[in-house]
Amino acid sequence: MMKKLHIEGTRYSPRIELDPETRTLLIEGDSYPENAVDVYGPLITALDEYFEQPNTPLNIKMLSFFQNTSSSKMITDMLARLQHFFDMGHPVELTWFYPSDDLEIKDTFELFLEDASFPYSITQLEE
Amino acid sequence: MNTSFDVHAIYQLMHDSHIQFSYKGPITQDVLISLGDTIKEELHRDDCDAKVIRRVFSVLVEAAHNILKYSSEKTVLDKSKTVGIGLIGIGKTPEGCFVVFSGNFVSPTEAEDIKTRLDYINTLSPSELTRNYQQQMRQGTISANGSAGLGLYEVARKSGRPIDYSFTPGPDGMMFFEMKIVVEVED
Repeated sequence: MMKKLHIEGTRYSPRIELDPETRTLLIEGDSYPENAVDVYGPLITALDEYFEQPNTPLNIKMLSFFQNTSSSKMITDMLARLQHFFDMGHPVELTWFYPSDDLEIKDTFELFLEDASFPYSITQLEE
Repeated sequence: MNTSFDVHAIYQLMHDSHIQFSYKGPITQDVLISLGDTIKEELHRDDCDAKVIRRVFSVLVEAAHNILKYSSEKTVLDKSKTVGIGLIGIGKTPEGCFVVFSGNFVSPTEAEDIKTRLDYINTLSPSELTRNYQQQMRQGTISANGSAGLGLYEVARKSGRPIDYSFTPGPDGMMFFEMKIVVEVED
């Protein structure tokens, strides 16, 4: 089994934890690095390894409200990868939290997930 | 250093132009964080809507990263990391809207490219803008330095009006690129 992936968060990049034992992925924190490939590249590589065994479930929790365009691009690519794994039979599901009453953020997240057919919810974070 | 410059004139110009703050120098990620914190605090104190604060911040981030990556004037930091030098700041229009402005030198080739892209973006309606942005997001590729070709689209989306820009010939054949991005306070 692959090792747990842990990427420390910074002021401008999220904490990322991909845990093969609990079958969870957590992305937590605002994201506006100069180069998002440095942040999300290792995660996308780790996901390929994570889904090597058939029928591997993954529960994704995203607590990241702000993304710059470089991050948005990498998140879009990551979601496309997750869609690919879901299509191959891996039970993938995602919850993306938005701050209470902030419909603009909610709309942004909906645009990200427009093409997704895996189960997901965009959920209001209670204060 | 030449000390004949007029600090009072700089102060007066900033004051008269309703510039809240401005920074010129290497645009590092640390500079961006402190500019971001300052503006968030200031806008928060003015009871600005969270949505407006985020829009202003988003435009600031994209403008700063544009300078960091594309300014022809560069400096080498420790760990041999190269960053662009430029000017960035925030002001207010008489109507109370926010203006994020940036200025930096670019090569003539870069200037041509930016001009083509901005002229195209400025012809798009808000819905066309979103569609183009989505298409670039899905089908575009991200370069090794993290550029996804989306920054100017994002700036235009947050601004909701044509982006005001100009180029002025500078020394060594370089062009000074300046951009003023208005962020509306109301929808």
